[in-house]
Amino acid sequence: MLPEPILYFLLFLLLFLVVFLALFAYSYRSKLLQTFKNDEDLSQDISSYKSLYSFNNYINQKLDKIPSIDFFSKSLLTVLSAVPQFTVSGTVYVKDKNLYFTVNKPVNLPDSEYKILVRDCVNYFSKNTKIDVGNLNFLETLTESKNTISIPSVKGNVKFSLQKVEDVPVLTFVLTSDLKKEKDFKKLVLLATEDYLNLSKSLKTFSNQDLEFVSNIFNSFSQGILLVKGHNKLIYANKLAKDTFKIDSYPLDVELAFTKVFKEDKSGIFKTIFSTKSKKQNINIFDHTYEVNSQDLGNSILLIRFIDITNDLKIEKLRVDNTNMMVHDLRAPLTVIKDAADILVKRDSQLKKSQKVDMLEDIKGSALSLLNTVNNLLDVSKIESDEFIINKKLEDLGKFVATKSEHFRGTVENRSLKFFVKVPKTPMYAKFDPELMERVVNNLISNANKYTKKGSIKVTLTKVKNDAQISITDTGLGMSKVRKNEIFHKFIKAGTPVSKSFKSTGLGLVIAKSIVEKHGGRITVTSTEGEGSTFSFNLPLANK
Amino acid sequence: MAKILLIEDDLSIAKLYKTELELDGHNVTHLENGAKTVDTAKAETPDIILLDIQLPDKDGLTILADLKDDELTKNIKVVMLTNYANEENVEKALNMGAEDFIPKHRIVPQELSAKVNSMV
Repeated sequence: MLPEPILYFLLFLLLFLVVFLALFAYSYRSKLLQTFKNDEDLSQDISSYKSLYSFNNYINQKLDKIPSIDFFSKSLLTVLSAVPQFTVSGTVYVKDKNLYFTVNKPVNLPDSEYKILVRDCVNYFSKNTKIDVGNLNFLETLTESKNTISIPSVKGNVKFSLQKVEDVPVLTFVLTSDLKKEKDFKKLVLLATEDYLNLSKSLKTFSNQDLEFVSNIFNSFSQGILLVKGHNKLIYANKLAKDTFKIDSYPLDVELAFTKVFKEDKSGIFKTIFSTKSKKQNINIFDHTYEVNSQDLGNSILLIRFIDITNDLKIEKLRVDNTNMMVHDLRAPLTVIKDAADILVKRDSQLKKSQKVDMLEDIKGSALSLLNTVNNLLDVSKIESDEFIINKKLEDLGKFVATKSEHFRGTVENRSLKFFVKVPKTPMYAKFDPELMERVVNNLISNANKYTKKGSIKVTLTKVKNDAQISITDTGLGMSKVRKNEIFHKFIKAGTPVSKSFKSTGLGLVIAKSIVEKHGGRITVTSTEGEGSTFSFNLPLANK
Repeated sequence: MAKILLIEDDLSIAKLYKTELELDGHNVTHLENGAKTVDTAKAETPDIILLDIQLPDKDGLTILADLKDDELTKNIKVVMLTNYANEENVEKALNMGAEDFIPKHRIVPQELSAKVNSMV
């Protein structure tokens, strides 16, 4: 046993060595990354690790209490596996008179090859230390999670060994059989751990270019990505995640950050996300719904991905609503036809003539409404397909709009509404399909008529920049903002028509919009609920 | 013969149901929308209310709840008229005290009157 001052001096020396090695590894890593197979670098590196192990040797000699071996071996192992060349690293230690041997499994190495690798390592170890490890059948018990094997027959003193083994770059062994003073030992372990953290952190950055490349990829994702280490430390967030969770720097405490952002929720959202480990789940944050997907990456790193599915859900709801609406539009008239026919057949002798006529009228009306819906559906599918043909002709839009609008004067004025048509006196030429454009004008004016109880309907044609703009303004029901945004979708109606006699399929505006767009124009609506709406569309002007 | 209150916004359907039920000797009052259902039910004390589940002004389920909430109307038998199979709403209605439901698209008027006759 050495006197105490010398012991402390040696300890100090060892600690110094650790720090030195950490710095060395740190300053060396960029070079390591650039010159992967440079022998000189490798040998230098090996020598530095040799020093690390001779340091361990000192401890071995000087400390006199058995420490937590697993902890030490694991921490050293992680130090080594963080260095690129050291794709293989291992530990050997003696505990309860058994020799324990560990070789870390390199990423992507198949199990079968891993077993061969371990066998080679054990052989190599056995040869260099003169330890007879007997037969190697015990290797069969190896799995990825259980990669420490106990070798029953330990003879003689185990020595440290660190060398290149055939094609496997470096195999490192740590023998900790005689480690004793736990307290001092812990200090060393702490230093080694810190070293490891620094080293792995710097290794993670690669070159700036690499980092930028990877980060650009992640930032272009439409998914939010968070990497959380340990309990709640955020180590990475891509742009979307940063924007969503208002993150401006990291590493940070995710739980705290979440609590800050979602004040009303405290840490509920954070806890929910964490409880979804390796599961999928929908979470509502503010007005959005996110599909959150967590995945354990190992090394206590959790990958959290989230996608905003608010719009998908909305579209899905719209789809279901539309289907229901369509089913209703088709089924309602059919129900009337079925019921009226049933009564006409079964109650023939009991019905008055006027009742029969009335029912036949209902059947006719329903059949027409059904036909109208089917025709509109066919039109929509035709317009939506690419085969839709438009026959453009050069015409005076002023004359066209005036003529087509005037057809409505009688209908509108009969309902005690005022009807104004204002077009410029000078001709305004545009190329359009008159038949299709008539449908647009008819649809917009008849809509205005359907939803207006009193007041007026006004049709105007004006020049806006290089376009002709046709507007139909009414003083009708108007629409809410939400309705306004949906009005050009299939089967969405502006509301209930002012009279039951007005039937609507909810497809007219879809058709009108398609026709206008096929002409290179745009259709828009401005509306105030209770005051009225203005539907406008533009068409590019042409020279005569 | 029974007193029937029919709440149905599709006028053609309402007319057909009314004709059918009247030919069977029932007395039918028709309302085009839901707002006045409870008041009318109180005034006329019908034996059966045929209530459309989807009305333009008021949800059929809400009206059903109002009817079942009122001492004067809570014992009147209510049959829901449904248009497209919305099983969730049908089940809700039955749980809320509706007697039965009639899918308008699936039955013919005669079946409607048969159901009404069986309830009288």
